Amino acid sequence: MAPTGALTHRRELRRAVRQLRARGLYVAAKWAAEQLVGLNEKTSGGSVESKVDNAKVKESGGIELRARRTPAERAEAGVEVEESEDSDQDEDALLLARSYFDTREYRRAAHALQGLSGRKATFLRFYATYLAGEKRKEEDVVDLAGPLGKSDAVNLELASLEQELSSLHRTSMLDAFGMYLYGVILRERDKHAEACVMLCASVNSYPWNWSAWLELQALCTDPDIFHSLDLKDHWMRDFFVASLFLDLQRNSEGLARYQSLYLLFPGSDHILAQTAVAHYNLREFDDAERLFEELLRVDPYRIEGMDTYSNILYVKECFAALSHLAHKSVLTEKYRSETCCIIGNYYSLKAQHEKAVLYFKRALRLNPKFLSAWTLMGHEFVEMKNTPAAIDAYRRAVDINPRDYRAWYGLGQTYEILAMPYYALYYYRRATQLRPHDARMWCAMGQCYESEQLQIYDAAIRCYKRAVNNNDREGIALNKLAKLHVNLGRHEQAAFYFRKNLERMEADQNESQEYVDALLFLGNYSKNNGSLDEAEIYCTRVLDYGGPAKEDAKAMLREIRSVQQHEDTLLSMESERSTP
Amino acid sequence: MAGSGGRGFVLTSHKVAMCILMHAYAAPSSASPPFCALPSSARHRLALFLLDQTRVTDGFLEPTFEELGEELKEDLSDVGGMLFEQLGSRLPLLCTPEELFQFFQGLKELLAPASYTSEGGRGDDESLLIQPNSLLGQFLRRCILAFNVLSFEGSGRLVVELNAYRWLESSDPRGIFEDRDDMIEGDVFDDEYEYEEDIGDLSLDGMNDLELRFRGPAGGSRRGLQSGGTDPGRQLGGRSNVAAFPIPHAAILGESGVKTRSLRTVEQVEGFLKEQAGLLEKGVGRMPKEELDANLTQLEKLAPEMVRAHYLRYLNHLQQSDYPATMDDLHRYFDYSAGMGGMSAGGASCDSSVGRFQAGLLSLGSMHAHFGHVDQAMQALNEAVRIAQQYNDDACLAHALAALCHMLFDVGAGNETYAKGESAGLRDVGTGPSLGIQQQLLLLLRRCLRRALELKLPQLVAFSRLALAKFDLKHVRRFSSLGGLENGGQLGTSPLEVCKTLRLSSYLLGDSISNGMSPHTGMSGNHATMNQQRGNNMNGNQPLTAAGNMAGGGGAWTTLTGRLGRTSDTVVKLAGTSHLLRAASWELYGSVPLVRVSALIHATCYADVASSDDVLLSYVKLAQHLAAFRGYAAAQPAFEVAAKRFPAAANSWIRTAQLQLIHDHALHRGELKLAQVACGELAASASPVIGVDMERKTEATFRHIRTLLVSGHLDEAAAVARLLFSSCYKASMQLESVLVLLLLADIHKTADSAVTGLPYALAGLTLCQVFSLDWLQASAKVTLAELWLGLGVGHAPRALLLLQQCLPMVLGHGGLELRARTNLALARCYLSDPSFSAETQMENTLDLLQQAAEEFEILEDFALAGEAYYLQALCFDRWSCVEERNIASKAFQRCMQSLNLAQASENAILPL
Repeated sequence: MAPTGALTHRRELRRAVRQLRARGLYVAAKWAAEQLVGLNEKTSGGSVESKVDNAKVKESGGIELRARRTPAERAEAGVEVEESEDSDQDEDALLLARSYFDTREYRRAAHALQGLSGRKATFLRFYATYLAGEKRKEEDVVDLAGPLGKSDAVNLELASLEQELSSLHRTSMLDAFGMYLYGVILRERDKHAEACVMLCASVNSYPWNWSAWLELQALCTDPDIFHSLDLKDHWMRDFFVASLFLDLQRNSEGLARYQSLYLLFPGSDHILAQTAVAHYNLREFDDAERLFEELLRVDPYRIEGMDTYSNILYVKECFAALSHLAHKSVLTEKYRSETCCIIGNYYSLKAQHEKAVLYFKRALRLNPKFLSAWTLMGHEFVEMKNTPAAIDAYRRAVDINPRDYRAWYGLGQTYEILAMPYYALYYYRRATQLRPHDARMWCAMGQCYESEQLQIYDAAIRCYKRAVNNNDREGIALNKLAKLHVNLGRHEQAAFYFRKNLERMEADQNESQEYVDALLFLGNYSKNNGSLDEAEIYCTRVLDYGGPAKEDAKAMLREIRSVQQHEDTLLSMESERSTP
Repeated sequence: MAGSGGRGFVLTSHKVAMCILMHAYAAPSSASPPFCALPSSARHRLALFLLDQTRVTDGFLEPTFEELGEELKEDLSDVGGMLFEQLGSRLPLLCTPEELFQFFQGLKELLAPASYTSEGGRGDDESLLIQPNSLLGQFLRRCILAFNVLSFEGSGRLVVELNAYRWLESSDPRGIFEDRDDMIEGDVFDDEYEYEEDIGDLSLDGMNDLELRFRGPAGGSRRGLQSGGTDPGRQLGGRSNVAAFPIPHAAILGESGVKTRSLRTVEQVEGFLKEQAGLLEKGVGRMPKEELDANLTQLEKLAPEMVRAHYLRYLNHLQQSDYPATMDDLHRYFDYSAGMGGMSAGGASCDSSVGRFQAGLLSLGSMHAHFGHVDQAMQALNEAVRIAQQYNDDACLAHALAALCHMLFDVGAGNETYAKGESAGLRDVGTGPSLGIQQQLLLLLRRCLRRALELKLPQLVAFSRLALAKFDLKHVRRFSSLGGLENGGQLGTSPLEVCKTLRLSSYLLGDSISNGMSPHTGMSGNHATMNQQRGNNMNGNQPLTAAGNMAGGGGAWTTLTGRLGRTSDTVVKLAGTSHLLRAASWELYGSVPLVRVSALIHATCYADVASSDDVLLSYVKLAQHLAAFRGYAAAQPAFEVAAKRFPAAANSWIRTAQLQLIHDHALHRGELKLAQVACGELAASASPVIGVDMERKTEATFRHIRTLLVSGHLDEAAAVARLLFSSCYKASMQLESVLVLLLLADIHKTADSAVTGLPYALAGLTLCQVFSLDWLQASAKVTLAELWLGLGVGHAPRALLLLQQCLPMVLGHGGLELRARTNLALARCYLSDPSFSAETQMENTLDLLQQAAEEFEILEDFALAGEAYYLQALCFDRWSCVEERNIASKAFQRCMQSLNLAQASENAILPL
């Protein structure tokens, strides 16, 4: 299917780019063009060749193929018919309006389109009106904004647009693009269910509009919503599902889908970037970094998604690389929220938290709904010991997207800092609900339960166990489990976890105090249990390290030896006695 | 909303209208087209109207033009109508930024200069300039200031809004669209205005547009504009060639409902929120939830910074028992208010951000308590105590302690495991783990009281005193084991102590009210936690809602509305509660009429301030009293009244009381099925958690035993009763155990083994004496007398003696049932006395029997009424009064028939 699939994809995408551009849907057009370029290169020869291929295909299995293609073709055909129906005069007006539109004079564009009846003209008029309202809203936000960009500015056109679009929809005069716009407006008017239905209808009749898919993704806050969607099968749907899985933190599934898409679109930056994000979400930083480097090599002036890259560099403490990235982004485009975020990350890494906050604030000024900036700003406030501000920032992040587990986690951490472990538990619980397979969340919760204020050890043990089961890479949980069991006097279980921890540390070649403690405990435990040989082994291993533990080990060894000698003498005496 | 002049004060169309009215009030003649002079009384009323408008809190949206007009007409009748017309004609004059500027310039002249005195000013031209420091003056100055800091875009927007405001007077959107051509002519800011061809049926070609644009200031009204008239306002507007500013569609359509309506001032909105919160707390289940929800959604859209809306949402969800949503709202509210540290809104909250965290924990604790999550609540409250200690927040600490006490009352009678859990939970509070839960509670209460006294928090002092009294009332104390406390060593209750505490608390309450108690501001704790306190022995899962954070700015608000402060409200509420507690104490210590008096006092004097739970309780008490003295038929209407007053499902108390009554009634009548059902439902209404709601559970079991007793399953009844006794004993519910003892005695009496019953009755009697339960003691004595009687005729004098001992108590304070039982027992004593002389005592005995029979009949206790009639018939027979004997035996027959009928009835449907 790959070559023929690629062929149809190419044809579809080419057409889609044109159609989307004609309607001013630039983001979607950009996306489609990216995928077009990213298609399998084997079939990217001249047009003649592809035509030949096309012909061959038609000869061989035409009927079958046509059957498969029909919905798409029908949609395309519909669009074409509509395109041709405009009269010349209208065409001129449309051209004028498009020119206005392209120079961002939306009101003029909408005005110029007054009275034109074609579907394209109608859509463009609605869209221009909507954008004019958005522009006005943004200006209002600047005028009226409260602290940190909270404001009540609304797009004043929404109500009237909704009314008109709904009346058009009732008479089923809306094409796929109209439905897309209607869906967007419904979403902004908080009518989420209707918006979902509308967007589904839109992508079912015209699947190549990536913006529509993105809107739909934003509405799928819950896996259940996704399952309830009525979506036709199409390759664009695969892109959507993959992207949605990442959004829902089902990263491995998303990754698998992207890998299968990659076979079709080997040169797609979008897939590359999303794969990198998936790796990042899975905390596979090396892979993610490699992918981002690759992405930057192919597309050096890319800013989209680079904030994630900067997060990786931050975690890996690559000062130079991060500063380079920040510098490059500034040169490319200074006033992008991603750029500001990257710079903020850089300053944060340099421990200049005030400056970092400044840049995060700028990012939020540019885009008040920029989720990661809120969360990162919260982190900075925590570093600056400004807990109320941190809580505020995290809370806004959570209100923008309740699935942002980092912000929930941050809230929990902040309250823990305030010595309110019980209060913090609520937030950690939310975080664990979102990432049930993330050991860090469980560790954090365990720490809360274990804190000296709560001292609910059973719950803490349960949490740490979950952490261990979910591959706790930092190895906090094992040690904690062992210590908790020691404190509770359950030595057997403690020994079990100490042993496991030893194994882990040996595998990591981590030889810290924890390691010595574990050895010492195990030595003691084995000695008390009577397995002296084992105890001896543990104690001699402690002797490799300095500090007070060494002395303890020596003392224990002496004890073991004397016991052994005692036993030996006993044994020899017994043997003497038995052999008269 | 047009620009922002200072935080929270936004110049809106409504405020401009207010300013115009103020002009009409202060200097009618100096306005550019002068207002006609008003009579002085009308001016006075206008001033009052304006004052009122600046302070009302009945909503968060400013009234529309039309609403303003209606209010004007309502308040000022004809003058109002005239003013409204003038207002309507004046508003269109303000159609360019320049005119607005002139208008506000003119407003400055309304303010009196420093040298101005109203007497001096009155002479010339009737102008009553406004003192800059008066409330109206402040409002005016704020308006002027807000305009002065307005950017040009801001004033442009205000003009647009003024247009929309005035047009909205027509509620028919078509009317607006008919005006559309007129609006378009001033299409100056084309980026602000976008019109659609296909909405109206008017088509605009260029010519028409042009014609309209330059249409002269000829006559014609705006209404009938279709054919090119202009409105009076255009006369001035046309001058600057900028006729009208276009308005966005959304505003015209009003359908979005957002931009056309503006928020009132921050103070007013907060006042509104506070009021709503109060209503929510008071009127359990009486608020339309959806309406409030919709309101809040709108408010959040308009003013996202109004975090208190989240609090209200929290309360609303709490009332709806929506746990996840409640949790979510609570955390959201406190998260946001934590961040508000420096920039609190409208000066209403002046607490530091730190205080918020404890308040959050406190609310979390009370929320968990409300949902019955005792452990969680304990954890949260403990953490609140700890954080409060950490930040030296004494007030919060005291409140947290009080809330803990309240919690402990609820769990108080919990079983052993619970008590252990609690002592672990109470680790941080500082009591030793070795003490029993009740000792811990006592220590906590004392600590709470001490702290409240130190901090001079009257409501807390009152609360702790009441709680102490309640504790004394309910718990039998053994003082010996507590170091540092009185070393009585004696087991017993202390009615004197209770009485003293109750009296003390009411003195304190009276004092604080008459002193005009300065409202306690800036406290972040939850006052309302305590409001829910009530002195009653049937408290189940009491909702501990917290209005504290809304009440935080009580002081500021009080001065604005001139009402009695919230704190005083709380104290008055507690004063009312003390009466209820008094009722409860009377109920325990012996006087049913005095219970009624106390409940009546509460219902009549405190109904307006008391929390709904308290009011409900007093209603229930009164209804129960009716049942005890007038029979069940009389109680039923009382319950209906109560149910009408509290219609929601939230009134589980009414249901409980009703069920108790139904059960009693059914038992008396002998309808066993019904009794069983009622008893079952009662048991089901208790919380399923072990150790919680012990009182209700005990009561359900108690009633179950009684049902068994009446239905004749004596063995089973005795077995269950013994179990109940031991569990009561374990949970140290001494008062309940006395009841069980007496019940056991009753069971044995019914089983005709008076000998075995005697020890139980005697034990019960002794305990009653020790615990000073006079009424119960009387009842115990009657039971004892009945037992003696059962032992044989020889013991009749002893029984008589016992009965005579308790007669004063029974006649003075007892209810119908006790009285009837005593009468019957007395009669039986006389009759079984060997030295009974027909001549002297017969009349007496017959009288007693007659009374007993009547009383039993009121109670519909046919079995015992039958017995009384039977005895009566026997007497008459012996006295050979045939006619009377026949009457009595007929009555007896009637009773027996009713009894049989009732017993045979399969009726198991509970009346609602």
